[in-house]
Amino acid sequence: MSGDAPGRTLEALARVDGAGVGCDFWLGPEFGLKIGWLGRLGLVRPYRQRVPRCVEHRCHLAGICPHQRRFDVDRQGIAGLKGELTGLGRQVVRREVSLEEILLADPAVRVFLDRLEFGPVSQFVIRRWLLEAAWSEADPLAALTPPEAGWLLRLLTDLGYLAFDEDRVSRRR
Amino acid sequence: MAPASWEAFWAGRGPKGRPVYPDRPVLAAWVEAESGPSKIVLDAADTDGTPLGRACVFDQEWYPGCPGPVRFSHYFRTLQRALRGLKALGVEPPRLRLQVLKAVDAGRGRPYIVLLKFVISPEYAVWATHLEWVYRCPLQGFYRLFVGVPRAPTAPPGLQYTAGNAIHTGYRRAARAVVDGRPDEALTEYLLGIAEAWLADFPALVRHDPGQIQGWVRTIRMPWEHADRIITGCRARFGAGAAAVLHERPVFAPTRGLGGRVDRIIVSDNGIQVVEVKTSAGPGTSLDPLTGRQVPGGVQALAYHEAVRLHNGSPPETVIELFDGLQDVLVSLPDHPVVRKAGARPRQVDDRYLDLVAQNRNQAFVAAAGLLTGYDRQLLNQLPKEGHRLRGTGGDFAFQADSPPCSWCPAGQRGICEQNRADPTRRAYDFWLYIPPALFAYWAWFHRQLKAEERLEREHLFKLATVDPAVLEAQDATTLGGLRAGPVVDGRVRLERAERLETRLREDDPVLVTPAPYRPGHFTSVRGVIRRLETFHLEVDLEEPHLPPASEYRVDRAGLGERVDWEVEGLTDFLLNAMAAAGVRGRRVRESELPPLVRTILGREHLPNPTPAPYPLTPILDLSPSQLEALGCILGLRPGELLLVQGPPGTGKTALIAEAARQLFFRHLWDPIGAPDPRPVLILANTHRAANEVVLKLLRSCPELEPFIVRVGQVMGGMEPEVAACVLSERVNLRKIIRDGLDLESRLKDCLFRGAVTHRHAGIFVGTLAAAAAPELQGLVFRHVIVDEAGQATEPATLQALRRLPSGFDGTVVLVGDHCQLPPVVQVAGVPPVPPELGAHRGFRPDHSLKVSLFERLADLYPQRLIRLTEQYRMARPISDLVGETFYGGTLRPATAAVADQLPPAPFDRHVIWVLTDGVPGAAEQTAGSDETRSNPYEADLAARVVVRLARAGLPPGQVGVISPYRRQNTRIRQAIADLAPDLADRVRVDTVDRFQGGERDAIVISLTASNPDRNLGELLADWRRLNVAISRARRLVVIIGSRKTLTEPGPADTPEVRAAKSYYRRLWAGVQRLARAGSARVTGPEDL
Repeated sequence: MSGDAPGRTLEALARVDGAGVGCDFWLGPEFGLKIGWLGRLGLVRPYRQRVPRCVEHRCHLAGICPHQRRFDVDRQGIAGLKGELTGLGRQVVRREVSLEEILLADPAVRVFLDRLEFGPVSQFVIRRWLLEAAWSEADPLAALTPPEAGWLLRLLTDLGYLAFDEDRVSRRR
Repeated sequence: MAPASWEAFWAGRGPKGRPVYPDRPVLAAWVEAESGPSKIVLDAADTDGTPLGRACVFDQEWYPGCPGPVRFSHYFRTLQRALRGLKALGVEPPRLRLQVLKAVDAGRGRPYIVLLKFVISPEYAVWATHLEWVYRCPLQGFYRLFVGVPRAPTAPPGLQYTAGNAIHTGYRRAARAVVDGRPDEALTEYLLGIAEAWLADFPALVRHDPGQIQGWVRTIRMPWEHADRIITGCRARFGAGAAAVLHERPVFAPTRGLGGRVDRIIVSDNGIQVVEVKTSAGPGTSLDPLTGRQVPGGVQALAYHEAVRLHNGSPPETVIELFDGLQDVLVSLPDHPVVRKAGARPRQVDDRYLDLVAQNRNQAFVAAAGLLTGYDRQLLNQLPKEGHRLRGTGGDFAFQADSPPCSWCPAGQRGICEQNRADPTRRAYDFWLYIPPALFAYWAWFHRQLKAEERLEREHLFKLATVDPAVLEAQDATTLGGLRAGPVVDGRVRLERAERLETRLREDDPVLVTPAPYRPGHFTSVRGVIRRLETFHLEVDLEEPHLPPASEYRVDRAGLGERVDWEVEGLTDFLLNAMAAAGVRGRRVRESELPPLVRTILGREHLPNPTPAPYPLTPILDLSPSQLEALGCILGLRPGELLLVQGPPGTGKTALIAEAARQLFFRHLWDPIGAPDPRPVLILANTHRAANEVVLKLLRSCPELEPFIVRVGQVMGGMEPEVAACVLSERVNLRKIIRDGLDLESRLKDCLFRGAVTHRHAGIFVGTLAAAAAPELQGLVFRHVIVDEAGQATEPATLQALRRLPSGFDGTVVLVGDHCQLPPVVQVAGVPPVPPELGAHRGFRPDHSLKVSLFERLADLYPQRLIRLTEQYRMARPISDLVGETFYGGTLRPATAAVADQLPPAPFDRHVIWVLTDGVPGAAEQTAGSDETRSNPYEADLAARVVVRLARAGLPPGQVGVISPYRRQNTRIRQAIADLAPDLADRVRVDTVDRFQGGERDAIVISLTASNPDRNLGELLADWRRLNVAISRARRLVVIIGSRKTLTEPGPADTPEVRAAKSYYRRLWAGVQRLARAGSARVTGPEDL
């Protein structure tokens, strides 16, 4: 797990800012992100109702996107797939608030960091944390899907908090 | 009709011009030259072959002097289709068994026999549930019974269904307790029934979205809320006068070709009551026009009614018990909408009743047996155009449902039926004509063989019911008679007799236990599974722990074609998915438009060498270089690609599979979960033993994987506790929760929720090939599918693995096996010639059959995709060298020095010993004519001596194995050991090769058995792979006893297969000689023992 996950996240936020509306169907392929993930960090407000049609926000993929029909015609199962930046999100784009700060304040990230303080842990074990959390809705990890958890771990790694050695994850700072 | 009267009837000495109801069988051969468009002429013979004379069948049951035609009669048209179908299949002249229900001698002087009503081929068992399908829609019957169209994955059952099932199962157990004189245990039994139903349905229920489960509290409680009412009802209904209540009894009527499982038969002073229990009025119901009530199960109940009537001699009282969780409604069969619509009278057994039974049964037969179309593409395409009622077979609409069940018919769901009324946009026209020729030929060729096996299975019950058990025991060795039964304890009964049990029955075989004097198929038969099989006794786990008292019992192999059913469905699923993935409509699909994996299976893809990929993780297990190479190639596979891994004996296939699963799961650890996203890994094995071994290896090598492993299926006897803990219901302690019975609402809800979450997060599923359609796998697809023991699975069975790939077969497939070890076990019932569309260019040899696994065919076709493991962890070097040089081109070697340097056990100082019996007086084999009866007392004695020498020198008896190809020889060997050393009797495993595969011992003794001047090897040794498996079971010592000449020298009657085998055996002999010169082997005579 190595790369520039924070950089790509910032880039994604800037694109949402520029476009006005972000959508899972281009955020995913282009940046490996989902609106829901950014929403959980408070950076994006997902649309639960009155989700705008693609032509309404002049999506750059309008006319060629295979999913356009869902938003423009079917109007089924589209809650949470699009969203707009929140004030916090704009602050991050303008570098007034750091993405790192927001991450470290997230309860799920805190759980990861706290548990990893005790020593290296296998990724299979981290994955088990998600399973056990899913049994209890109160657990901060309960809301995380595996892809989202993987994204958070990549962010923490690229920010220097974690290190990966094959399947082992350890805390660096 | 008595035999004498029947003979007199045919001779013209019976009543003239007046129909009779003989209910007698005839063997009828079609005289086509004298038949016409409305007349069939038959030559009839008795079942012993004695000619009876000519008979005719006319349309509409006409005969000279008849009062009037029987409009809409099906008999003529259906028989005509059956005869034409037989002719198309090459049966010349077409001949059938007919059970004549009604006939007339319409002659004035000479006899003129006209058959009016009959059952066609009653030896072919049609199950009652299938009769329901045909009643609802004969075309559906064709698609499901012949083509084998499987259901599309459905939504998991609602909890309402499970609650109803739990009440039904609890009711059944409580009723049994009351009838057995244990009314105080009724409540306990009821609760156990609830547990049984929950455990059975749990794998399907966990497929629900965990979020939905939270709202199910009320429904969960329902079975417990109804307990008091159910128990009170049972006590009132079954208290006094009920002699016996028999549950879930298999019945078969050999004169009607009808069978099935009756929910309940109550035998009391008032007679016999047959009860068909239905827990909901779902699809398959009939609407009572008078009451407006929906009542299911009419045709099923009718079939059971008829079967029990024939066994009992008089009509039983038959009712449908409709239980919807709140109330119990009894509908008597004569009042059922199906029967009333038909105008039939089940109690009086009138003509309408006979026609209702016979029409559905005969139409089901011609559909299931493929007589309507065979494999003619034009006929297959033409049949749906006859309409859903299949006009060409005739028949009265009064004996069919009003409208077809298109919404739940598999053919409609899969979009291949052109009569689909539920969704006309999913009608497919000319589907059969659009299939590429090679794909159709592939499907048809395998399908035909599977159907031939199915036919043997369907006729098996008839054989059991009509042939003398002593004859069956001698001929087939899957019947055991004259057994005495002990008490039934915890559902298990011990059956024994003074005579040895020489049988082909094995542990885990399904059987029927029947009390004398009845035959299997009578409702006193009980199904069970053999759990233990010894020399004079066996132990059977009964499905219903109640055997009718009798002085003697018989045990017969049951086997109602379940294996063939799922193989046919898997094969047809492959065809349908291939066509759907091509994405072409309205024209013939080109082979090049099929997905790459399908083209690979069809043998026309050009495949490069596999490209290894780096491992994301350092392997945990200490893998050999060839295992590491194979691992890299598995990880390097791209979607749509296939790899073959050949694992000779002892080379660590299971370890490789476990490591591959771990690496692949890691690769997808952070992938999305939940439908429709694919899961990472599915591992399917040919046997439960192999599946359990994979789970154990995974758990022990990487305990961190434990939460993500699901062992598909239910907990079974013999399963290690660690493996059982991976079954979904065990993960959440469901059994214990139900048993405790405390705070059930919240605990069961929690159980379901945790089970659903666990299922959603699981990343490695392990099961058998038969489990590819198991409830917990329904609706799931996998990125990577690994098949273990692929060399022992038939090609259609291996195709099961492809059912679980994403759409377009867009996943990877790894077949792990060894085509130099035992092949698939099939009953070869006539192999059709390989069609020209298939052939050597696709890996099909002229002698190809179901016995050639997909693994073997593709290994020949794509050697570049075959990775062979070369380091083995079992055999000492000399044995390894012998096996490697003889069977593996010299590529096998010990993996470590510790393995290589294992010493032979005392008192032997060589690893390989061949005790030659050539020229020794009295060493020849004995046989009673058939291959099965071969034995060799001389060799048996020698084998016993070797065993005793090893044991006396300190080798634990459990580390010695004796192998011979023949049961009879094994029996002799066991007796010889017992005679020589009674303390060793039953402590040394003596068995056939087939039962030893997968096992190993320090010392293996092989009795070749075959020893004769003609050098006749016999059928079993004609397959050289048997000897490979036998020798490679040994770690430190292998002793071969037998005639070198018989094994290696040409014989006058040698077939090509035998000649090929002997060339391997000559190589084996040369290897032994080479080892002898090197001091690792000895060739000796019997005197040295």
